[in-house]
Amino acid sequence: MRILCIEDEPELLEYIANGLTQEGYVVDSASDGKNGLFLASTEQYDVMLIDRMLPEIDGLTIIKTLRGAGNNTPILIFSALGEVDDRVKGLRSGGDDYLVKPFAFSELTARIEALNRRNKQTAETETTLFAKDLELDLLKRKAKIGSKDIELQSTEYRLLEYLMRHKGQVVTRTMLLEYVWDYHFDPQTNVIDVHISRLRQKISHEDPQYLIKTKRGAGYIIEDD
Amino acid sequence: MTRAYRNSSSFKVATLFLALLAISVIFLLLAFYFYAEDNQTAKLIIIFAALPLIVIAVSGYLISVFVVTRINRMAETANQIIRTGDLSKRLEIDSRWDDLSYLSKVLNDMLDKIQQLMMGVQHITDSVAHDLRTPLAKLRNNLEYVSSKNTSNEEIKPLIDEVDQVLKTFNSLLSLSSIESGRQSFQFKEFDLQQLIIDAVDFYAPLAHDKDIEINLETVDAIYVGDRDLFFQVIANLLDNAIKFTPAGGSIEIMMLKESYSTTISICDSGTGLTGDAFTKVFERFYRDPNHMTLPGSGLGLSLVQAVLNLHHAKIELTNATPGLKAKIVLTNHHD
Repeated sequence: MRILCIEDEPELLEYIANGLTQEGYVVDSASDGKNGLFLASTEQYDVMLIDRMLPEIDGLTIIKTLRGAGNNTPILIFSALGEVDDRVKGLRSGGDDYLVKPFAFSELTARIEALNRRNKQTAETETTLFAKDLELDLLKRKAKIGSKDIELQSTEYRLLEYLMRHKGQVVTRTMLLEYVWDYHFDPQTNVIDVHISRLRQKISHEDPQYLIKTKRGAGYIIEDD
Repeated sequence: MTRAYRNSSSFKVATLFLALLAISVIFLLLAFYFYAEDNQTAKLIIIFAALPLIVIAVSGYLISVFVVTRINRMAETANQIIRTGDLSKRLEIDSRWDDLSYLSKVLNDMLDKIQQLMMGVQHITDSVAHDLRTPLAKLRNNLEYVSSKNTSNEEIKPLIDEVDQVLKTFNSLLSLSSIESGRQSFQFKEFDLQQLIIDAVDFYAPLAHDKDIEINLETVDAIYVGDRDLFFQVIANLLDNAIKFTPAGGSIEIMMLKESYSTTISICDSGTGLTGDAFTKVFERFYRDPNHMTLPGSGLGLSLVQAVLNLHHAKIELTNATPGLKAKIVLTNHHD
């Protein structure tokens, strides 16, 4: 996967580029808006990481310019301290996701994977998702294990749907909060873990990690069969 | 630098009074002198002697009224500062000639200085949190990297959790400061308050269920203008506390009440409640109930609640219900 990273903090840029290269991505980097925009509009990337504040050309302007030119590459925006206003502005200007600095590396890779997947998936219109012996009917909003129906509450269904849609990818707790509950906040207790363990009980097997695995320090994953 | 007594308005008033007193004494002496020969003139002079005394009495009364009102007003402002902790309030100064205005001015200068020092302290806390966040995040990521290369090493994982906890505290501290200072502009928009509360309860329900706590929810239709995410954080923090402090098998009552000018949301747990000065202290940064030190928490939850509510010009009141603690949020309804 080819990634472009536009970030003006040299240390952070190096850190991201090295980290992503180690993970097997191909990374191009730019340390100011002008070079960044040049690369972004001349080369083909799978995901772009763009800092909100950049010298020469501001991050949001780059995004608007690219979108204006019909470039639909998924974009992840970086910003300093979680400024709510910034988040909304960033997404409105055409960004696809938003990450507050400093972030955990696992959060970054999880989001890159999610963005890449979303991009590839747009053409497909799946109505049923499968993972091991679990079947999720997106139209009827029903889950089945083998031939047995499973009663799910709406939150549990949405949680399972999100995890299934991102099968094979790590999903972080923050991503679950943002996309399953649709609130951007910081829970004091790890309530999400409790939701997951209840969901696990419903799709029960001897082994709680059977379908939904915990990636400690990162999040959860439903692995590809 | 001390101000000479000669320059004060008290000195001027005292001098004036002394002069008036002297005049009246002179008139009295004159009256004695004339008393033997001309009774009529003596009486007239006594009246003249009485006039300055009346002037002294009347102006003395007026001055005391003026002084007491002033002092009361100063005390009231000082009380407000103590009660609300709002160091931006200042004593009123509506004249410049009297000594109390001078005192007010000096006290205001002192408040300026205190506020400046406080902001300095806050700024240091914030920059410590801000500057330590990046190296901590790096430390965390390196730990993560080591643990991913070395799957047998389970000892690293609790370390990651601990660093995460520190980062979380720093993040709360920074968002608290940024809300308090009003530095950032917020997204005030209409949102469905009833739905938000239902969502928050739904989010925390499994946690309550695990402790066998029953949540009774009564909501009413309500639309509110504010920052939806921050408001969710408020309800989340209060619910989190309610569940934390309610013993297993207890219950939590959540009630919404809509009146013409205000909407109230009360969250009532069945824990042990609060005692004494804890009612005000719980809103302080890093305050933790000494009886519940073993429970997890950063001591920033309620500080954040109050900061967000202040931002929305809303209020929170804590009272002991029997049993438990009742947190009541009072929101002013928006009328277009």
